[in-house]
Amino acid sequence: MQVLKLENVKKYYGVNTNITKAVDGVSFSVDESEFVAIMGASGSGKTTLLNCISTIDNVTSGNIIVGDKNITQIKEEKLADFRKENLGFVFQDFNLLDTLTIEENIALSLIINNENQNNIDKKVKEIATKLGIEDILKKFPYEVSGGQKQRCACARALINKPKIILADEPTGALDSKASRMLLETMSEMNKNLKATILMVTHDSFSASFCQRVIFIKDGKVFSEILKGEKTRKEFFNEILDVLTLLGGGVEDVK
Amino acid sequence: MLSKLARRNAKRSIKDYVIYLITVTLSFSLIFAFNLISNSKQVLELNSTMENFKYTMYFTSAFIILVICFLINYTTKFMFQKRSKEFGMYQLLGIKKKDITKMFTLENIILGFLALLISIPIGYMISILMSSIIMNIFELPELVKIDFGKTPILLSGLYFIIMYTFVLFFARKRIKKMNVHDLLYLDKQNEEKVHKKKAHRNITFIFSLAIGILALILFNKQFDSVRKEPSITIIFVSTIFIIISILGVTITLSDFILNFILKRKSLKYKGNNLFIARTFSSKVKSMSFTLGTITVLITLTLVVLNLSSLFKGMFDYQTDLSSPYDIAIELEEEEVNKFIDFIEKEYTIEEKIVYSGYENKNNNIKNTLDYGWRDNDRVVKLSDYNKLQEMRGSKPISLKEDEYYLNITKEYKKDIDKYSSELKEITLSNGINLKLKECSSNGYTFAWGTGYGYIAVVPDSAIKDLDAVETRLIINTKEKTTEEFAKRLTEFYIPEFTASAEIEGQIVYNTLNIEVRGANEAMNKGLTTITAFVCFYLALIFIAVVGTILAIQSLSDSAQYKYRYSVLSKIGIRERDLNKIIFKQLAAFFIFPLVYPVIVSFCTLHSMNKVFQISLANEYAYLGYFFFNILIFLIIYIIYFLATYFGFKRNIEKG
Amino acid sequence: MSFLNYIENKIFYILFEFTMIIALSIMLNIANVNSYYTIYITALLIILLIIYLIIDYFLLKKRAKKIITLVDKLNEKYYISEILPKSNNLENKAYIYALKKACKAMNDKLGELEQEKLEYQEYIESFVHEIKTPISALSLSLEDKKEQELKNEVNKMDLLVEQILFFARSGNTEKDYFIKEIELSELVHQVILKYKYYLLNNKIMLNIHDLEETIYADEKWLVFVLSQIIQNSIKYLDKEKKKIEIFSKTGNENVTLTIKDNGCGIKESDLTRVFEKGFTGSDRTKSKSTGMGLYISKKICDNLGLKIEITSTYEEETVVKIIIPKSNFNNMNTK
Repeated sequence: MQVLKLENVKKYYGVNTNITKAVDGVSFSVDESEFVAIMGASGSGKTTLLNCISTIDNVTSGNIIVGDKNITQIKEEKLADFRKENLGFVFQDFNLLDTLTIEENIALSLIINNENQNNIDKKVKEIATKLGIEDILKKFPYEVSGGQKQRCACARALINKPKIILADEPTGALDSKASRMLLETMSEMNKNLKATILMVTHDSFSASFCQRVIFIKDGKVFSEILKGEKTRKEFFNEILDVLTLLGGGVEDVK
Repeated sequence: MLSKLARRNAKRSIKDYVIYLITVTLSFSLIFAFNLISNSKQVLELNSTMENFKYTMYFTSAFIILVICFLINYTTKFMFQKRSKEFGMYQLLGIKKKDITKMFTLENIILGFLALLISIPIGYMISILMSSIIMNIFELPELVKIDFGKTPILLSGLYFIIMYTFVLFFARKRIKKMNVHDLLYLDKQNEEKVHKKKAHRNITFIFSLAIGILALILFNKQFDSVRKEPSITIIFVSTIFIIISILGVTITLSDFILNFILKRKSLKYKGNNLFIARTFSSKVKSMSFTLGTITVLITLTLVVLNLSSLFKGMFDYQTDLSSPYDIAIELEEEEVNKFIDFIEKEYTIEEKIVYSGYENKNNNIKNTLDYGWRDNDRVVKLSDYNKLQEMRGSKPISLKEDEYYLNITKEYKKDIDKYSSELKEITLSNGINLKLKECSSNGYTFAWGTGYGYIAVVPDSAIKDLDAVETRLIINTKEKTTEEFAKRLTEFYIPEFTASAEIEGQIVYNTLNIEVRGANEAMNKGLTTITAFVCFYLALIFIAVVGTILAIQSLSDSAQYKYRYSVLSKIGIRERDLNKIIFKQLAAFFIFPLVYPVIVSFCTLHSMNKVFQISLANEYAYLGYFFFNILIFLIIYIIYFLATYFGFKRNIEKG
Repeated sequence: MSFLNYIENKIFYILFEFTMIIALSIMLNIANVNSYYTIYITALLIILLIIYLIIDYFLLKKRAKKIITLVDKLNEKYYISEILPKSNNLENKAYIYALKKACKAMNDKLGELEQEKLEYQEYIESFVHEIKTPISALSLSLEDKKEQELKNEVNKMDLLVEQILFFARSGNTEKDYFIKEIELSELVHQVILKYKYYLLNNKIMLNIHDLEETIYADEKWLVFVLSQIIQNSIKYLDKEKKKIEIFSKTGNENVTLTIKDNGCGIKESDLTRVFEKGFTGSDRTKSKSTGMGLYISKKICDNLGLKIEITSTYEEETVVKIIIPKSNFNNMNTK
């Protein structure tokens, strides 16, 4: 079942008369329980693309369909509600509210969805255990490591059972060990908890954990590769190959 | 080059610190306006009491300058923290610390000087407003022209120089201490949150609360009785205790509230309580000392306002109390006509009465009530008393042949029960027995003379064989009497009548002997003006300083912690709800420092009222003052709150 | 918006304020307030109102001017809704909302059309690819045979197919160019080679000289343009002695490649219209083409920053000049 579909999405913006064509005609779709990565260099438009999918930004033209709703048609006031009920977020940093404990951060998702107050604690404990962070529930974000913070963000994104989880460079601020842990966690989320995840990244290592990688260059889809039966290492090498192509003067090759 | 940089930075700072600049300009304007008024000859010559206005103002201004210094210092320190990265960058680029200091100093002086310049025309307009209020108080038809004298401008300049010298001196010391690393990472350093141990917090809270209650009780005890002088030492000590209590409570209270919410699921998980509670408590913890100081300032403001209301009420009432008649003189019987002639030269006499106080050698009443210096009891005829009442528009009374009536001051009224047995039935020195019909404190006025604080009214027949030892002349004139006339009357009086008491070697002219309403009114107006102006001056500045500090803190938060609201928006909170959160957060922040001061000011007012109420219209008048003052406070406070709220919202929206 | 306009817009508000101020001063007078106060307060209120109006006007004007300048300077005006500054005014918000929705709808439509065009182009490309196979097969099988007529026709087919491909791509030359150093003589020889049969069969005399110049351009596009010109020349040569002269001249900033033929020429009145799409000449009898060759060539030259000029003496000769900027790495206009 299709969870996300982009139809010729364009996002241009500018200050004064310099128009930046951040996203210049992107189309793809994501099915339920897929773990997809969008890769591209900085400035290739991937963050803008994610912002459009997250309903944080409006597209200039094109359609984005989440579930069965065309989010480009939803009125501004209703967008927040839509996000609340259908999307989960993991950003690179500033995911968690620094004044709340880890537990409360995770619970926030449930609170704003008016979850029954008696269920909240139980659900939080459940998801925290599944992600291996139940021992830091009472701590504050500044007291835990970056990797743990990101796993909390994942917990918060998951707990409301959203249609799709959008991750923006989740390993960006982590060291290699923490990155690996986080990616393995996300992999498990995808495999065992059937979460649909769309991850934006510029890091090939992170992308190799996905089943599908879409490459963006200058705001357009450049290429798309599938993991299929390959091992993660083989897939990783394939990704590197495409990147070489992406990066090294393709215009010169006719 | 540096001056250009300084100028450009000053321009940028204006946008960020509008509220601060407005407050500083307002303060300078007020200082200037008050200087103008208090240096204006015409105002000072309105009456004799107004001469003191000038010096009261100087004293108050000195105090105000201290407070404004605090504000400017606080804000410059704040600005410095916010821009520490910028200064670190300058140092990295190679600009010497000395030059950075110079630039920062220059920026602040430019801003301050701008405020000073704008304050002059605004201050002038305010002074016009003030002079019209003064004219109103003095019931004068024309407007007094305020001279644009040199002194006020020079004074303003002087204050400005003093304030900024202090502030910048401390700023320079601060900058000198910083190195590049500190500057660049100054904001990161603040992120360390101090979490006190639970036990410490509990003890501090209970101790502070206890000390506060103790202070209030001590304070209350000082005003138990009218006669006992309140001990200044104890009042001073209780003030210190209250300040400590306020600080302690401020630091710990937010935690208690937070825990209360956290323990209850129904509260914790309801709506946005969790976010607001956590953010609020973290904010309070990060500036607990400043918040404590603010709370102290607010308490001071409310107490000052209450005091001024009490005094004003007292002045108003006293005038009424001591001069219900235009002229009241105690004199010898032979002198009566001389005085009448003297008075008639200037005024038209509408009504007059000459009556006597008759000696009651049994001293029934003096032995119980009279603490005054009369050597014996005096009583008055019923017919005289009723005429006196009629002359001031009150109802006459009636007495049976064996009844007498006591009209006493409120002060005595409290003690009267003690002596009820002795006064229930008295026997005058002429053998006549009288039963006490009623003992009332309604409408007692010292102008009646006879007893000190009381008048004993007996039926006309009861004065048989009693000597008249006191003659009083009371006159109501058609025209209003003046302070100037009172002076002349007193001069006319003194050479003639040397009946004066010698107390401790000094000749004291008994002021009970002459009461001229004009003089009392003049003093009242003067005192009213002075106290009212001083109090509102202080109150306005204090509230402005408090509001500014709260506003600056909140607004800088909105820039620094914008990401929090961005997170909330992303996980799906509507813009409308986000605005509600901001509103509730700011409201909590502004209301928090109000709670304790309101309680303290009410308690102190209640205590002081025990003494003041005698001089006030009634014993519940103080409640009216209390609410009125809170209202005035809230009006200005709410303006700052609204400015903060809209500024906060705008900063968040921009992101 | 002039100040008068502004006042006009706010006239009801201003009148209301004035009425209130007047009412206040009347009430103060009735209440026997000192006339000095009344005048002071009334004057103060009026002055404050005027100051407010003036400041408001200037701020409004500044904002309006900013928006108008923005639109005027913008090239692709249909993206205006993405760069308009926000407004908190209720009415403005509604207008901006309308504008955003309109622009999105239009841009969606544009995207649709672009998509269609792209599909069309892709189809043409694939068609060309497909059809080249049977044509080459045909050409190959005819190679040893002497059926010159057939060979000619097959050649024609090939050229037409090539023309359609270039037409389909001519809109996006920027995506498909590769600048390199070209010797003019090489270039011309390539083209001549393609048409050698025609030239020989029709006994056309070629005069090629002064082609030692080197230029920087995209080879294949230039070859195509040259081919079109030669094709035309061949088509319209009508004299006994058919002559085609090709040479170059180097100026200060340009290199001019000239192709002269002594064909039937072009009427004066037709000269200005030769580059129009589908123009085949006013003389119906002489039309032997689809009229696309010169149109496409002009388009390509425009995209590559080259100039193409035609002069002609009717029934005498036709001269086509291609002007190539010297060593200038192209002022490519993007369309």
